[in-house]
Amino acid sequence: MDLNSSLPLGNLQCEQKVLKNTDGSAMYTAGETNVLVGVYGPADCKESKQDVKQAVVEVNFRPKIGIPGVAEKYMEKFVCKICESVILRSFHPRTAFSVIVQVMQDQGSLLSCAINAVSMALQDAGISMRCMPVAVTVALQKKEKEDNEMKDDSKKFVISPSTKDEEESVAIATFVFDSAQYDSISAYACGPMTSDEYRECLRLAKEASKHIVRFFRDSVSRKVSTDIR
Amino acid sequence: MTGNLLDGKIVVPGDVFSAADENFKLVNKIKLGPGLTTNQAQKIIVCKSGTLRYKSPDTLWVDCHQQRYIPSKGENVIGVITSRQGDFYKVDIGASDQAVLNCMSFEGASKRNRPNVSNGDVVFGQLIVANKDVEPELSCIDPSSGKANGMGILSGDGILFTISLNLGRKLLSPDCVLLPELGSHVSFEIIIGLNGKVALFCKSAQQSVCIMNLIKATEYMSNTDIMKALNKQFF
Repeated sequence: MDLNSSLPLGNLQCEQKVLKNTDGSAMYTAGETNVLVGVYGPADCKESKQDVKQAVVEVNFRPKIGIPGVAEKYMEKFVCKICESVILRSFHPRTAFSVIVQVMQDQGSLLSCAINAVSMALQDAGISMRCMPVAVTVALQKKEKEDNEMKDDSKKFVISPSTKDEEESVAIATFVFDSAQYDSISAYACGPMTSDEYRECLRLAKEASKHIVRFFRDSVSRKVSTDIR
Repeated sequence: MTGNLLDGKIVVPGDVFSAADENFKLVNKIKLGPGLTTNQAQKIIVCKSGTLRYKSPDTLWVDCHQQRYIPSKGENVIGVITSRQGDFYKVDIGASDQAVLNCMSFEGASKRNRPNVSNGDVVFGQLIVANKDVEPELSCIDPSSGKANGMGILSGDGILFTISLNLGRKLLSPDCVLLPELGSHVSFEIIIGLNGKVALFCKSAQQSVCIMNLIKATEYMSNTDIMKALNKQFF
């Protein structure tokens, strides 16, 4: 089996506090994909939307060009559910958290890049969270043999695939883990996959997510390194 | 006590440490400050990213670079009066809810002698009620002495600007050299609210803007960097 587990996650870059008026913001780059996220909250909220027991979370997903369509709405919902599960919402009843995700450049693995960007922005805003969500996308590629016979060694797993890799793949899966226990929070998969292949994707994603958490931790250390002791 | 080992550690949400940890051998009960919470298993869970702080004998908290203010009882804050509802004023203190300020909560105020307050006035007060379920309440009387103690409506030619909560705490910290050093070069009056709002009173507008920019620039500076920046400015 040809595993690209040694494949680097591409170049990871993150800049926090990029927007002035937001409570927290992050510009996150993974490979060639670039996402800008702004977070407001815990902020005042319309009475009709308020929840007396916990805060509400709204996510706004903006594509690079044009108006948001069905795909964007789906990602919005996906990111929203993740935020709801990690934010300690009962700490701030009757308030709202507003997350705006702006796609700057999409060269593959957009969903995982967006989730990681949201994670960094929430963390920059100092919002109380149970853990940080970390997302990794894995693509499964299969080479067709001349005799049309599938063999085990024709499989290839690509971690954080580019647009080209995604086009060549038969199935794509995005996994979201929590940064503490590396338990799965959420998953999104499309395309045909056997359960063994799915498990292999999950394993590879879990490995890769550890690198990303390390990267998160490094960026936090850099940010707070000047605090007065 | 080896809890000091934890002081200055950089933490991210989801980090867990247990009270039964060897670092806490001598302490039975620990007070948790902002950024820390517990789960059912009596483990301490970090919920904000920043620097872990420990104060002898038993207090732990996380210093976090946060923009949004979350009211906490007893903190001194600066707010702007936005409206009046009967005996109460609504004050914008930068939190999710507006704070209320009773017009009796000024020094020397009585039913007959109401303070002269209008919308847009800047007020410096102390939070006497701060609870996540009800709106916060401000008071301009120091509960220990019953006097204003510097609190009340701020008047005069000054500017009001917002800084990050962490910078506000840093400036108020006795370890920070910026304000004493700055004060030895120029004369000014400054009031720093823990909600990140700062009222600055100087002789001239140029001085005000200059000091404001200097303060905003020190967010990520250490004490030595601050001294360098000040030397550049004044020598």
